[in-house]
Amino acid sequence: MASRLTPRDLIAVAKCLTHFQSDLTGYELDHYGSLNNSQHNQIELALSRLAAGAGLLYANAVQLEFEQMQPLIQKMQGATQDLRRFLHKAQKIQEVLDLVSAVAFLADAIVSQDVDSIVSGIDNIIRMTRID
Amino acid sequence: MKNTIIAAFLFLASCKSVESINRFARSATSGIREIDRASFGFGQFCKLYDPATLIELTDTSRFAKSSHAAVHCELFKASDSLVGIINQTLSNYFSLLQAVSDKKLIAYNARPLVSSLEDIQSRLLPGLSFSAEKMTATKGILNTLLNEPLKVYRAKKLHEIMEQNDSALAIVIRGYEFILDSAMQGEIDQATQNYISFVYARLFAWSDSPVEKAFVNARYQDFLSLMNDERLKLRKSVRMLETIRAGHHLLAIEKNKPEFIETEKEITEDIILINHLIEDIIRLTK
Repeated sequence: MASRLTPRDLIAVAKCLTHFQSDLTGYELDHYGSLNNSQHNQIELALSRLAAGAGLLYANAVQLEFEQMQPLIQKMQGATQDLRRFLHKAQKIQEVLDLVSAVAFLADAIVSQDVDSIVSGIDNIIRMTRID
Repeated sequence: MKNTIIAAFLFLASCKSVESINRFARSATSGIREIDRASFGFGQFCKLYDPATLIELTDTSRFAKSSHAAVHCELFKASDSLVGIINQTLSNYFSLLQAVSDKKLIAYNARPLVSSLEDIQSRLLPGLSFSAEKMTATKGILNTLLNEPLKVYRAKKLHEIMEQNDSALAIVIRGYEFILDSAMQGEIDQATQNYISFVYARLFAWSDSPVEKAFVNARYQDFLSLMNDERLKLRKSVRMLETIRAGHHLLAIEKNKPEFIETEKEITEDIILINHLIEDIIRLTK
């Protein structure tokens, strides 16, 4: 029964193709003068195919690796969401505490009958409670 | 008394560990973003070092023929998108760890509140006559009551999330390392071989004089140097990922270790190493 190829298997096959290409290039270089045009063309065709095959296998190994770790990537994305929710919650708490201070400041301004401070206090509260 | 000392120790340890998480997460975020910026994508390998593209370099006609070779780089680009997802996932995770552990996030200052209440009290209830000392104490108590439980809750939550995701993170990082170390290094080997097969071998065989051969060799050396820089960048990226993985693990399990100073020292060393590696990668990319 044929077992499924792993990303490491793909890399191993790709490396074999790269080595084969290297050997074939070495052969062509050693016998460059004695080969005719047709032989050169055949070698070039073989080299192109080996190069394309190896390049694709390296790239395909990434897709296979990604497929294997996809559930864990999703888990990490879930953790990121958890952190984002916590960040949002902490920011909200901070906003509420700041609002309490702003209300106390307004109350102080009202008690002092300081009109300028009342206006700036109201502005401040409106700014803090504004929903963008 | 003993319980109070233990509680105080645990509290201090949790604050310090959050600070360490923040510093570590900041470096990890920058490092992961730098890996993404510096990486020579699969699509680029396909576009620049495809046989059809390289053959143009050996075109001896007076005006090089325009190339419309049928290069299908879609699969390579798909791999780049997947690598992008992995990088983005890690970058988002560490950047949020950094944001949540930021000391400015939980830094409520009760001073404006107490000052306003102090002012109101002096006008409405002058008979109470709170001393400045009492007001300062009130500010301190309020700051502690409002900030500290949240800080402890945050430290607990951070450790919980880090612990729960430590093994998933390790596998994702190892996968990323595999992609850089095997698949991407493989593409570099392949690009080098393509240059030899489709450029160097031809030009070398065609060149007659030693001067021509020296020129062909010099161009080949330039190409090798470019590829070696890429290899070095990948090796440094892999080392950085390995350091990030180890540092995260250390911080995730740190709460179980009594000797926090040791942990903090190790984390500081990791942060220094990550920052050095970032500098090296930037230097190699320029």
